[in-house]
Amino acid sequence: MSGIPDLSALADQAIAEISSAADLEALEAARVRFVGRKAPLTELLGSIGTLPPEDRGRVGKEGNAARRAIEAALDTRHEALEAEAMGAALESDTADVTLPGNAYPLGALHPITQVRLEVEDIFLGMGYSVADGPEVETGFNNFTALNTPDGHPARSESDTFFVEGGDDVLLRTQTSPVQIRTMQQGPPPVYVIAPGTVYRRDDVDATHSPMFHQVEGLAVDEGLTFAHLKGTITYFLQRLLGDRDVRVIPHFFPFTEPSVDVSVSWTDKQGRTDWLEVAGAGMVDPNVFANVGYDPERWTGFAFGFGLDRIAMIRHQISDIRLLYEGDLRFLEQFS
Amino acid sequence: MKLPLEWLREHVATDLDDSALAERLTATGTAVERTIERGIPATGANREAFRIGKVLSAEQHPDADRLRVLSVDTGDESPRQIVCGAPNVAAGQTVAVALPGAVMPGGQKLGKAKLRGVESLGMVLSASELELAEESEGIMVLADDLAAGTPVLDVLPPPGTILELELTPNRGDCQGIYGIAREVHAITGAPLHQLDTALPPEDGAGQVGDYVSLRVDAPDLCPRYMARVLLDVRVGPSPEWMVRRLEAAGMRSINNVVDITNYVMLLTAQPLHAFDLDRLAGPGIVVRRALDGETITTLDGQDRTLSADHLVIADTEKPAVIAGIFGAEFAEVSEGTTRVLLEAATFDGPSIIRTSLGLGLRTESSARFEKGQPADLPPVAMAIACRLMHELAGASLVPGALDEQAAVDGPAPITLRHARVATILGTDISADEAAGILERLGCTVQPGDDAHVVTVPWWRTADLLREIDLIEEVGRVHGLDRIPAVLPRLEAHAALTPEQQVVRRLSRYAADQGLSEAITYRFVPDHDADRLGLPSDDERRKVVRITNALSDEMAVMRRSLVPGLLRAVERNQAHQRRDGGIFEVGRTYVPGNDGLADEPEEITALMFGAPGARGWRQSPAEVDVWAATGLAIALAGAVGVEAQAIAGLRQPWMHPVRQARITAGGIVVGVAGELHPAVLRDFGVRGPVAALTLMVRELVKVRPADPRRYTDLISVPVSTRDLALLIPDTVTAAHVLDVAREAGGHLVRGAEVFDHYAGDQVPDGRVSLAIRLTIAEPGRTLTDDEIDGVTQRAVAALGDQVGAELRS
Repeated sequence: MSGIPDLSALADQAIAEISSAADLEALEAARVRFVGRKAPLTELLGSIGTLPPEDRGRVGKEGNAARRAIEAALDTRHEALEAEAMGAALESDTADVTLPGNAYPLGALHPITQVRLEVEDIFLGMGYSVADGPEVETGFNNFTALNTPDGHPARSESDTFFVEGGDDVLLRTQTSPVQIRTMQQGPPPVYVIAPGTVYRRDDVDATHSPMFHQVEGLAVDEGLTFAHLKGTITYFLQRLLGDRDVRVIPHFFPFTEPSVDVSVSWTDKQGRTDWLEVAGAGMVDPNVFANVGYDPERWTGFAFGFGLDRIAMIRHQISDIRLLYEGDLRFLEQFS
Repeated sequence: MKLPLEWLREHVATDLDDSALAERLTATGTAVERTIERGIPATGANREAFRIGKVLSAEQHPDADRLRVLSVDTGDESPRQIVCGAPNVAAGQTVAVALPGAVMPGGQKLGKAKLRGVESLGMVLSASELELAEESEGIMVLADDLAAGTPVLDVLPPPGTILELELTPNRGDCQGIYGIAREVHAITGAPLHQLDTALPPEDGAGQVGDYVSLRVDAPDLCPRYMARVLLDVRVGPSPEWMVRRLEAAGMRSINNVVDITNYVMLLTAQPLHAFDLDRLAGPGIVVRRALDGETITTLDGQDRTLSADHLVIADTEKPAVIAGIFGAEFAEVSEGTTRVLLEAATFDGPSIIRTSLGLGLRTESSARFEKGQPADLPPVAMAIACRLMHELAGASLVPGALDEQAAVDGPAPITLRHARVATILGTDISADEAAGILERLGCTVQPGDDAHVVTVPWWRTADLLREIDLIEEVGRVHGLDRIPAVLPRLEAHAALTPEQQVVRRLSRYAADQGLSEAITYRFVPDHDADRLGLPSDDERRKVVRITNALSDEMAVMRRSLVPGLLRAVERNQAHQRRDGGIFEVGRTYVPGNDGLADEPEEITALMFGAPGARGWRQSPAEVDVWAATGLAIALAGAVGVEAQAIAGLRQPWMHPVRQARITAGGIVVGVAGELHPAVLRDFGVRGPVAALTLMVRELVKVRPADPRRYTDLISVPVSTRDLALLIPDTVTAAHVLDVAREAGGHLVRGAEVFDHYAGDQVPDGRVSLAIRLTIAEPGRTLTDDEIDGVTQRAVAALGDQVGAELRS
């Protein structure tokens, strides 16, 4: 049969050319040449009616197959070239990724606040509530009800700030009066901690501040013993300060008996391990229960207290307490 | 308190070595603060290496003016050659010698030496080298009856270990060495030697009453006063052993009589006072309150003025001692004294403390009296002191004692229930063990099946009064470290209160916006109110005032957090900090009744300069009123409170018109705005500074209590309509939005400003304001007519109510 091109060869040639088209422009030229309106294949398929009837079926079938194959090759090549072009464009769009990204602000909670929140969370997890009381407090709640009678040196003008216009009204010297207030509010069981600001009449220096922070803890229930005090304080200190040894040694506080000093093992920068005193604790003195109307025969309990400033200073190796109260952003922003 | 262990061990025969003893003391509540080792280490090698020597000859060193070459007999076969630089060395002396190999105090080992070419086979020692004295001039010359070769450790026992103890205030009985000996007996079971309290022969002439009279006018302040008279006293130096013990315990030797009073005080915890009887007027002792304005010249040469608050021991004319604290010059024992009145008394502890604080005088004596002394202690100390006076000062004791004593009840027996011990301590301690502990502490125990009946010894009557006191003793001696640690099983449930939650969220949010939290002193200067420009009748001038403030800078409790934070900003600016944000959450103090206060909490934030995130392509703007209102509203939003900034507030410390009230739920929850330049100037702060305060209680009050309900604005179309308005510049944006919302009715889900402009193309007196209304109804699709109706109503109302016109 003459006059009818070899369609399969035509397709092969077209596909080969398309596949090697270097760019979208060359590809378009190939499209026009092979399947454009004036392309031989297009014209052939458009003139099928002029062919002898016996050829029409075959040419139509083969011609359409060739066209589909060519068009598929065009699509494939088009996608490949587009991807290539996008790749090239992206490659040239360089950036110094080490330049700072967009800046976002990040301030800091005060280190004392951070320690306080941790302490609160540990005790909340154990079922304790967080209690609170006024800082301008009565001498009764701050001292008398806690077994520190009138005339005790701690109640003197040299140790305690007093408030004008009140009879023995003072700035609380400890968070312990919150114990009294909590117990006066209702019957046991009581499981509370009371973080707060306290005041003592100390001149400001590297280790003293007339205002500082404490946390008081109080548990009153049936069957609470010194063993529970030891368990609670040990668990708490290990959660807060890491897995250290905790030691209790007998001490004296007016409102607990027995009373203990609590220390944790601590290794300093020189590698020496020593005991670091961090808290005071004890079994609530029966007199304190009597002062708030609890029956000391039925209820027992323990109390503990420690300084947040001290813990924050130990944790962050801060050697001067004044830094905590100066509002110096160079200091504060280190704790974000 | 300093505890020389050598002295302690004389009274209690413990097997524990020094460090084990220190550990046991600490573990049972007598805290050992520090261990001081003194003198030559008492090892076997040092027994050989430190010897008594006899200086046989002392020749001039051939090449050194100041050195002598000695030949010393140290008990070896032949004398040894020693080079010595001491100026006082001489042939014929008996001295202490360290041989090569000796380990000196401090640990260094002595070797052979060559001094200027001459070999030295040892060292002749001074008292300070043996740590027997603080300082010494030249070598120590010893008594000639000591044989050459005798170990120095045998004849000059080292002062040894001294423990520095921190005593708890309830243990007045441990303020004497013998009290610690009793304690060591209790905690180790080591045998305790009884104190010898026998008086020396009462061989003085006559009776005590022949020599002196006694009148106690203030028995409330002096429960017991006891005095004895000693004759033929020979004042002179104390023996070496006593000097060394006094020094080891931290006191200096004065003369034998004064030293005896100090020695007995250190031993028994009972301070004593020795008077020169011949210098006392009368002679008579009157224990009385001082007269107001009465003066005394104390031993340190100072004239002190007394008042009726002070107790004195006077003669018939004038005060001779500030009772229990310090003596007067005139009545002191001196070289010429031959007749001594010796006092042993007890005084009211709180009175001693008041006097001691008031006069600024704290002595070894007053420190012991502060705790109050048991009434049975004076005779014990008196007997020991009299015997030492007899032995060391040759004194004759006059028969009889003056002894005025207020009646005291003996200690009541205490019932100790066995079950109660376990209830408190949480561990089983047998009734037998408890009884044993209490008996070692000096108690008398009548054992019982359910309880012991316990009588405490006279030296513990002040602190062992109740069953719980005994339980503490049992636990303490048994060992609190042996009690197991058990975590209680709680059935309590806990949550933070709304206030606590709000405070946490506010702080966290503020910090996350780049501000840092400060804690400033809550006592502030009085003049903060002036600096804030508060009018003279302003309620906020009422403050909680401290009567004994440390300084004017800490005179009153704050009513606002602004001044404290301004001072912080000032300090930050002082070291070239240009931009920053700082906040504080804390209380203010509003005076109430009876001196008490209401203590509302607030958060205050100050931003200065252009704070915020800064980068190579972003830079924050300088703060202004909107920085403050924006953060205030965001903070409120962070705790669930939808707040608004409302104009018209006039706080004197803020810019008069660039400040806003922050309101929510119909109440004021805070303020925000720029600080007044005059306030900044007075605090030394450079502007601009934007500030905001939110009040915690108010936020909690308007915070929605219930969980917010979901509104379906997802399955229905939500339309927005923008209105470009020209409004009079006297009308606030908040008002425009309110009018638009109200007119639009419930279909308006939101109204917000998205552009604000004044200037070119806007007529004078007018502002261009663009607002966007969000219009929808949950669950229903609105028709175009409904939506248009909303905007039409809004535009109409804005025209009527605020004179707004729609821009074309």
